[in-house]
Amino acid sequence: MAEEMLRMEGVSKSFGPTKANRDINLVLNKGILLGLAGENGSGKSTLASMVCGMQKKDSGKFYKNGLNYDPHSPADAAAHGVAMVVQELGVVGNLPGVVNMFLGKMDPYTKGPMVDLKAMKRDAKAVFEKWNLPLVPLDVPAGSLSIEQRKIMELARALITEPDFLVLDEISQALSQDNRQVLYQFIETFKSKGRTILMVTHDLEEMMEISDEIAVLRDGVIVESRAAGDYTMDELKRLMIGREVSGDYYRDDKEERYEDEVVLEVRNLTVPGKCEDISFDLHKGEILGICGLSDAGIHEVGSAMFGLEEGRRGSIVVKAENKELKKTSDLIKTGGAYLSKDRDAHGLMLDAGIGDNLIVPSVKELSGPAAYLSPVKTKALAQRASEAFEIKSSGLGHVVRRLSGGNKQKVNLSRWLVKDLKYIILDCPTRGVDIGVKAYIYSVLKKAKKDGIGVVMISDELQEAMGMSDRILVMKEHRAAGMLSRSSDFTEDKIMEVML
Amino acid sequence: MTRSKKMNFQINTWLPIIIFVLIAVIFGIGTKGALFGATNLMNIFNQSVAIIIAGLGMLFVAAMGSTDISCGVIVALVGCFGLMASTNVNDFLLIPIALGIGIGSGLLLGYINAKRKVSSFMASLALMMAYRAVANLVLSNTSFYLPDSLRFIDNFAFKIVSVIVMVAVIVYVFHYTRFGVFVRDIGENETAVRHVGVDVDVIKIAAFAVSGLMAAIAGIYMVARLGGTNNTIGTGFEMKVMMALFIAGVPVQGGVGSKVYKLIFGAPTIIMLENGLVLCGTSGAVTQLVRGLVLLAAVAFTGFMAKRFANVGVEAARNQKTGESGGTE
Repeated sequence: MAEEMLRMEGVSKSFGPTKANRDINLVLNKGILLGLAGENGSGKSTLASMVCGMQKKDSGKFYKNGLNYDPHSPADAAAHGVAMVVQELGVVGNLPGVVNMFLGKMDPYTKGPMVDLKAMKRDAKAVFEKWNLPLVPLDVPAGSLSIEQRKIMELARALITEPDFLVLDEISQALSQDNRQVLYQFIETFKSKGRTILMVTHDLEEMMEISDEIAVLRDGVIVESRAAGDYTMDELKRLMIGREVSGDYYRDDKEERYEDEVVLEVRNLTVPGKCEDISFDLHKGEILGICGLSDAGIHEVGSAMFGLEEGRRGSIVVKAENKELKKTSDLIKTGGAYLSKDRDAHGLMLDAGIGDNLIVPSVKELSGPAAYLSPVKTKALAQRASEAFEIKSSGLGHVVRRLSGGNKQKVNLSRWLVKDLKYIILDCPTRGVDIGVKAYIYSVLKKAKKDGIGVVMISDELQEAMGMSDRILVMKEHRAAGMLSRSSDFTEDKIMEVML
Repeated sequence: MTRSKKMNFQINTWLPIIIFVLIAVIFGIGTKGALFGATNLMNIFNQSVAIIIAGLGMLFVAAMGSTDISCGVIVALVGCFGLMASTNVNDFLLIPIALGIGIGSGLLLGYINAKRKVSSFMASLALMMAYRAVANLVLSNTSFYLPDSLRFIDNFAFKIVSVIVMVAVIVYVFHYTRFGVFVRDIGENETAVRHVGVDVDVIKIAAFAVSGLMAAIAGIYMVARLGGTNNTIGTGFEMKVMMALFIAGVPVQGGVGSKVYKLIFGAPTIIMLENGLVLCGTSGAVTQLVRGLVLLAAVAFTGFMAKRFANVGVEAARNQKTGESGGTE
């Protein structure tokens, strides 16, 4: 019989009237990875953060190695051998990587009023080496690292305290295929030392593949927990959502289908060091996927098209009006929209209400003579968007920060789609979103396509790009490496071949 | 739905009024009613006017989460150059010159902040010091007096009507135009506003210009009240205006919680506080101390309440109880 690492008994937690976790009973043995599955708002992150001492549980008990374990802070949790890599990036952008790694753990390195940076750096490197992680530059400010590098750095940071229980919250989403392999390698090594991982991920395929056991949370309650191999994908989805879902939420047609009319003509789009010489046409009613490994420049194509990148060359022309896009406002004026992949930082006003957020892109269209903005009209628009997109909330005043990731993304997307759009550029629209909302977003995209909207969908999930696109522009090292069509080239092998 | 909405009691909404009433009652009792004597009420009104007017402008800056501490010194410049012109050239030149100074200074501050990326606090602090030096240089050995033809500005009826008009205009601009919406949204998340294709820099510069303009108008009223100018006019005025905003629950970090009505209650509140302490016979130093502590308490309380009740309300509770809400993860 396997030895027990962590036992939860009757753990509950509520936020005001919301019961985030109810009577959780779970046992994690040594040397396993337990995947925690559940939709957004099902209480996964709450449970994980209680284990790590970031939040206090209301009732119930944790036992670690048979002893009562009640962490009151992350530092206390670390002292008990528990560490966590959080979902939201937790690095201080202006400080160098090495300082970030030892934040709050500097005591052993202080020499009088100074800290011994050299020793810290040596020890930081040792962690990377020990666990065979790709070393990231530690001298530069952490903010200048890519999201992927930062994630790896955060993983290394968690490992400094030599934990025997590690919580990974949505770590792989920020990682590209190659670094995911590194992560899986690491997980194997970690487990082989008799240590345990609790992992939260939205990528169910990944979860099925790497978990030893899977526990499913729904509305704060564990509805099922058993060996990963005993689940089928459909069963897992059904357990999460609590109702039957069809196995396929992507498009079911196998042909590219769009009108001949070109919406957007992109020619020789170049941002030095970020993307080089990108040209394509976006057609009416087309979903054009853009794929590539991390750092291939796919996200930069989106932000460059919107006009956020300095030193952009080349031309982007809206064919219908024969207007060249120069500033960000040109894109909006010509019926376009751009959604950054960083929803919280670039898209939403987290501390404002849903209603305030929903109207922002439409403010110009809504204002009448003398710049008058009718409260009746704005409220009606917000109401319409909120209802059309089934945003779950207590009303338009509900603060966005308190919504689940999926509902946040619904707010982010719907505020644009209530407008009369001609084209939309989406950067990773389903990042950090649970399966129910994901399916919903895909259905929205299908409808947009039917309505003749041109969609550029930048995605780091190959499955998603293949499932939804008419054509995929594959990028490699900042350049276009190939344009593949739905009817002939959509296999993982073919795309990977172009990518690598 | 409609029923529960009525019950949705937002403490932050009522906070300015609660504080106003609280201060009025405390000092009403403390001064044995002297606070509400006719002359004293008139006094409170007269002192509140300038603060309300300047506050109407500063509200735009505060809503963006920025700071403009140059409004006191703009009052000094208005007194200095406005009255210089009306003494030497034409009585009514005071008004266009004041407006010019206000808008000009606001545009400059906005440009430095938005385009040159200097923090608004630092930029306005620097401008404040420079302008004060200019005012001191000009006024070191002269003083100017208000021409009789401009005495009407200090007339009660004119003041109350003009203030109501200004409040109405600012309520319209701040709450019912897209400029106002964007100003508040910048306070919530500047990047998000940039991402909907809004030229944030232009909005910022305009907001500072409004702030400067309103400070200058406040300057006209202050000069009219004083009947002239000296080189200390407007010192510490910016602090009073900020206090009027923040004591009444305008969020220090800006955003959608910024409302005009909060200022309308905040301005007389701090004047009453000061006035009441004086009437109680406390010394100037103690008055300052109490003022500081009350401001601290109000700001801390507003921040605390904002967090505690972010999605407050019976309505929210009811929906979540029935499991309708997405809730928190």
